[in-house]
Amino acid sequence: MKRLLLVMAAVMLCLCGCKEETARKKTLVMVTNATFPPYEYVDMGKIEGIDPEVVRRITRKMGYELEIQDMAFDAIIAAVQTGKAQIAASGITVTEDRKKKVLFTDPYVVAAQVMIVPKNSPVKSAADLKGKRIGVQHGTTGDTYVKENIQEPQRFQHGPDAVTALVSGKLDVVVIDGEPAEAYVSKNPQLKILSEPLVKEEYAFAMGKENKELLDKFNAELRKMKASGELAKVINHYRKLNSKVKLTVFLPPENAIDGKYLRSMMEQLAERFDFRADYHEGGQEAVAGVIQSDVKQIIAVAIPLTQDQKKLLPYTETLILGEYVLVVPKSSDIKDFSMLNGKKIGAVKGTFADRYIEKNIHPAHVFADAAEVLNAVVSGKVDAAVVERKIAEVYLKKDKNLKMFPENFVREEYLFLVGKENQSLLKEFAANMKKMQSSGDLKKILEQANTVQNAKAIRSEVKQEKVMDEDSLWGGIKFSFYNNFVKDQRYTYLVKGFFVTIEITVLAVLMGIVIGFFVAVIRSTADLTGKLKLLDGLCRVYLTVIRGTPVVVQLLIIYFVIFGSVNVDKVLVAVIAFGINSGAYVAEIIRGGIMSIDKGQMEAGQSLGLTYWQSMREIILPQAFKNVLPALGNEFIVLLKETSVAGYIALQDLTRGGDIIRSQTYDAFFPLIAVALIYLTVVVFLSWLLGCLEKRLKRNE
Amino acid sequence: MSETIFEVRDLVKQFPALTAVDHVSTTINRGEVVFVVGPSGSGKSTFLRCLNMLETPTSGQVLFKGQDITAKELPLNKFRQQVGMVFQHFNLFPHLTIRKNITLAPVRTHRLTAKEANEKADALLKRIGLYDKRNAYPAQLSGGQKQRIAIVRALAMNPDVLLFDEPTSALDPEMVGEVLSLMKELAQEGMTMVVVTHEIGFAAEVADRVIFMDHGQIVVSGTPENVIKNSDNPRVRDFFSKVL
Ligand SMILES: Nc1ncnc2c1ncn2[C@@H]1O[C@H](COP(=O)(O)OP(=O)(O)OP(=O)(O)O)[C@@H](O)[C@H]1O
Ligand SMILES: [Mg+2]
Repeated sequence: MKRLLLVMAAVMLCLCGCKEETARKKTLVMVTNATFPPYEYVDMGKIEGIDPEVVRRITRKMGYELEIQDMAFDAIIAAVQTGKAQIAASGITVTEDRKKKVLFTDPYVVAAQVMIVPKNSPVKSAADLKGKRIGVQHGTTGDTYVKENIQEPQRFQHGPDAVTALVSGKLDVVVIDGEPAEAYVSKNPQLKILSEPLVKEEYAFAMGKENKELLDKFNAELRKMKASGELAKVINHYRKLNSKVKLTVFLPPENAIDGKYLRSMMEQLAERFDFRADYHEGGQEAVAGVIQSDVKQIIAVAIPLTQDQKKLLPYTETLILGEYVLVVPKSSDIKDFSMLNGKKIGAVKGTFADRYIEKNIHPAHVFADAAEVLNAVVSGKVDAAVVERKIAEVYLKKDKNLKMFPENFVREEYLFLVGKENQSLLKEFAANMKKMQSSGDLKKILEQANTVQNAKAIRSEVKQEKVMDEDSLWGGIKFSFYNNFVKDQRYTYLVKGFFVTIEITVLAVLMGIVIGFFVAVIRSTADLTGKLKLLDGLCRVYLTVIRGTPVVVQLLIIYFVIFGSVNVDKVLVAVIAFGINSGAYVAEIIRGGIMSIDKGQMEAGQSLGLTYWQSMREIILPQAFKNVLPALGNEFIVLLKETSVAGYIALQDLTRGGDIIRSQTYDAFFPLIAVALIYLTVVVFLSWLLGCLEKRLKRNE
Repeated sequence: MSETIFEVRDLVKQFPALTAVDHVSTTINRGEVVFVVGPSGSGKSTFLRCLNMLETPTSGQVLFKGQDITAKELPLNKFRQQVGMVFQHFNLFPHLTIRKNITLAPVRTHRLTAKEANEKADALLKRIGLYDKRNAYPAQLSGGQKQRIAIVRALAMNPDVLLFDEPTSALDPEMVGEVLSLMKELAQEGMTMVVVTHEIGFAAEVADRVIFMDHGQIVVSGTPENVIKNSDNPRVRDFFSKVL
């Protein structure tokens, strides 16, 4: 018993220690629910957006360090209320209700709650909402508004979940903040936003009531930011970043020159269309994954594909930027393209034709423009010329000594592809490109790009590969796999989560065994000797309460009530909660083990002059422990699975890791199956270990 | 006049449903070998277990070397170190080796150092011819071997008295002999012993005194000759005529 008290004292001391340390470093904790672009979202594993950026800037000016924690939206207000965090910044709407619980800063954005509906929906305005299946994000203004003014809505943890339900026909309408709504709808072309917002609202940051002083200082900085235009700049930056189409360009890694040329061309296209360009030096495998991505994006691939290969790709547009023909003197002995070897071939310097000839035949003789090239053919300086078809046609009308092979010598073409949700985007893009082509704008872009690339560099062959597998089902699976796990290193959510899960489970089981051990000994001693009645009573209460309430509730109570006003590591909270929970079950297991030992053992020990406790320690417990080892192993397995609710206090365990991926890819299948498989693998492995252990124990008997 | 080991005064042990030991008084002296016999359920075991306080008497006193062991404040473990007990079902510690079974109590009670205890255990094991089993576990022994280990385990504490509760009745017949001959040896060496048994022949051979119990009471107490062969009490005669 004394030892238990000591352990508890040590834990308390450590907790106090932690608190002091945070105070010294002057760290403020900001809580947010990072599923609300552009206000807050996770990008490459980091929490980004308007809220984190604004709060970061202000707190830095105030001389604080900032720690950002991601948690469920409905836990955020409670977190500042209980002092677990100082600032809640999550696109929070100012309401009278919330004002009772927390202090609000000046509003930094005035926003609207809008309605998302399918394009063919009968819902035309707020008046049609009654009786419809309405989805909202749990705890948002939309939630409250719909509940108070219309009816009970269906609540979702994350906005994307509600949108997914709408797409799959489980909802008639989603009421949600205007800005993320734009983002969701842009990814789902079958959806639209009703033009009339349901309700207008103001966003502000929230702080605990006791932080009046902090709030005033914060407001002062916020006002300065507003006045200087800095706030507007930050907000616009993130809005733009999130509304821009992403142009993902795959540069052929084997060919530095084409890569440079292409990059320069795409940069100019991106600028032109106000895209956000992003370059990858990946092969076709990578392309296959990105095509199914959630982002509003167009993928540009610089690798020539055959007609057959293109047929396999669902949503592509091929843009032909130039057709080149071969021009020779009428008297030439060159009868077809295969006879060019060893001949002097002329081309315009730095054009696609130039690069193509060098790559496929041998370096060309280059000239400043097409007229010079054709003149060189006429004057016999070169045996043949490769020039653009249009120029050749015009030229040949004047010069009857030259002839042109009617079929294309080579075509400069680029493939643009999109995931199926971005089809309309691609069509629009292609139409714009055609317009640019006919207006000559595109030509300018190509010329500019030409000047950038260096014709002297060594060129190597581009190997042709298929972008996708023949079997489109398999291809789809591959895409989905890539998108859910490989892209943006999403698998790290699972890896990190796995280790968190294991850490919590192992520590909780150890703590559970310590607690369970003491409780079991107290309970059995009371049973066997009639002593320790008071402690026995306490243990019974503990067992009844812990075994009579769900572990999630216990976890939340420990986090929000017991450690409500202490800043303590969440993993520690989870370990304590699951340890206390497991302790109750372990106690009964061990007690069963103790009671199963023949009472002759205790009598023999005592008749030899050992005390009760000596006999317990030396004789009963070792035997009991050995008997219940398999049951304890089982408890470990049960606990491993139970820790999957750790996400409730925003711990990123394995299950939560899968959830995060899900919220980024809108794909339920792969993340959930992967999470399940990981749990299953660990459990099967542990069961196997247990089996071995049991066999060994049996052999020892 | 030799030293008194146990003096039992008016001992009563009541269970909720019945009185198992009913006003028993007797004295056991050093070196005496006392056999307790009687019909099943007559309270023999309960009486024996009262002698080392495995059962707490309802009333009456048990004096051990003149000290009242029923007194509340007495540290029972100190007293029990001087009283060995051998059980019907051996009660060896299955998770410990034979040697550890023997040395556990002497070492933990600080009677002997670990080294002394090991030496003592080895000597005792050699004496009963089970030295080569010193590192075996109880499950690897026969019943007779187990019971002899249990006796040796009690001996390792150098007790003033050994209590036996039907030490042979859980044994196969062919193993009874080895246990009885060890007990006989101990008796001959002058060990004080209180033995509850149904082995009347053995009692007749070894006992200094035989106590016949029935319904929780001592019916007769005397030499084996007088109790077993020539009692004039009809209940006693009836009992022995059936078991002999
Ligand atoms: N713990 C107990 N609780 C209640 N009754 C008991 C308890 N122990 C023994 N008894 C009863 O007390 C009586 C005497 O039992 P005890 O074991 O002393 O008899 P015994 O003479 O040793 O019999 P046996 O020869 O069968 O071993 C019996 O009727 C028994 O049922
Ligand atoms: Mg008995």
